[in-house]
Amino acid sequence: MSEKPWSESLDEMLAKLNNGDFVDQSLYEFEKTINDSVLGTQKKTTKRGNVYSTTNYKTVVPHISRTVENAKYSSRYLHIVNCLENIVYDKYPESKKEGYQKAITYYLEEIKKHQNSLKAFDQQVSVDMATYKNKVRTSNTDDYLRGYYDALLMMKKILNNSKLAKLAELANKVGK
Amino acid sequence: MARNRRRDSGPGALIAFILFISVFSGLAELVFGGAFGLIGIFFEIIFPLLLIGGFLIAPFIFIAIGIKLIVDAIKKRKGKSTSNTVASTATPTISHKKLLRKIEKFFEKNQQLNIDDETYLVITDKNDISLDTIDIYMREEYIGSLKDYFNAYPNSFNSLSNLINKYLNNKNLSETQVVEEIQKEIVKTFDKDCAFYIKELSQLKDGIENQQVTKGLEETIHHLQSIKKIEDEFTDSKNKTIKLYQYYLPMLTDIVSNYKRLSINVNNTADFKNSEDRLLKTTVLINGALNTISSSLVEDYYTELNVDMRTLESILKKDGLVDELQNQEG
Repeated sequence: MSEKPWSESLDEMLAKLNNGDFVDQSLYEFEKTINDSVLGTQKKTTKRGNVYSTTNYKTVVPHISRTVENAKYSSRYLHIVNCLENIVYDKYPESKKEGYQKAITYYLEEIKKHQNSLKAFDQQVSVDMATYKNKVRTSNTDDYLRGYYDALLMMKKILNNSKLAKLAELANKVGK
Repeated sequence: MARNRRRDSGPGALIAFILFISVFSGLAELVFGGAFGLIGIFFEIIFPLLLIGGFLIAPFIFIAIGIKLIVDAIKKRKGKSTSNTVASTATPTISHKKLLRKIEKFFEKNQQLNIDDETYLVITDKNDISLDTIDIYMREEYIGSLKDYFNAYPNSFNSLSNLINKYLNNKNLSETQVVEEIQKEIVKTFDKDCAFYIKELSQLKDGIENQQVTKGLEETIHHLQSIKKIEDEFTDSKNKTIKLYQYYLPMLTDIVSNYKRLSINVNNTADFKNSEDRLLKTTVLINGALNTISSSLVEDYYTELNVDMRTLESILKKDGLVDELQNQEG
């Protein structure tokens, strides 16, 4: 079963932390938030009796082929396009897959138009995310819509990772 | 027999006894006299000499200690540290406001500020200059705002701020870019592995006074040690941890470095408190992620082990060895 990758959850929480969402929380409260989230752990016993902790998150979501995700790219554009073209669906429900693929195809076309204006593309995805978040809230039984929204979450993650990769490159150049 | 005994206790025995006592007392006087003589010499000559020497040397020792304390205090004030890891990061920081004013002035006459030959800054709103409205471009492509850079790599951002400040202070602006010598070792980032970060974080941890911070970092190091063990034994797992070494751990080490830099130059308490809060929360987050990763790696390890066991079992069954073993156990 394909699980939501740990990095996706970490990205989300880091973005919130940078956004100042947890400024008013004490460290104790923040730890509690993390423990209650995807990054929280629970004890589980294996068949062989060995005890180890594991995440309690088991949602099936598509993921990017690991070799593609971990590769090094000369530009953000190549990073994004390669990731979008190498999504692995595994056991993602067919009912949601249609909406998911529709969104991915759409954004692949869009990014090709925005190759020289990635900032505008980033902004477009953010606006679309807010719109679809509301739509999903109001009709959470529509699988096509939920699939489309899942794809938007993936889009956001890819954009964020491509940004981080280039900022890491700059940090490496500038040094400490 | 009785006659013989009387003969033995005659004047000869008395003389022998007196002689023995004389020799013994003579020897005792020699030994004790010598020993007390030596003690006498020690107290009369050596001890006073040591006392005088002590009085003469003690002021120099106190002066040396005093000089060391003064030098340390000056170093602390200037932001120098004895730790090699922090030394390079402990340069004076230009405040954001001051930097933004200088950048604003620069953009009154210029379109872009070149960081190196492939990276530059542009402003998106001339009326509202902030870290959010200054974009970074690399190879003609938007890679984020200065705010994104500050959030991800605060310590590196500090270095860049200092470089920009230094560059903009040069009135002639004869140089065309902020960073003249570009480090071409970009690949290096991706070569840094678990062992590297265990060492890096252990070094950074030294000298941090806040116990909550050190405890958090110790937990990070502990998780990394567990991950390293799994990676060493189960090499396929390395594919799962690449992002850790590419983004998250560089980010964490940068935040720790920034925190250490601010702890040395405690000029702005608010900045330091923010940095401490951010570091503590980032550590909690990353430790949560590391815990999840190591658990997931352990699960994979057991799955792999189970597959191997099943393969072995089927081979044994095929050779008719499983029943034999079961019978033996029964």
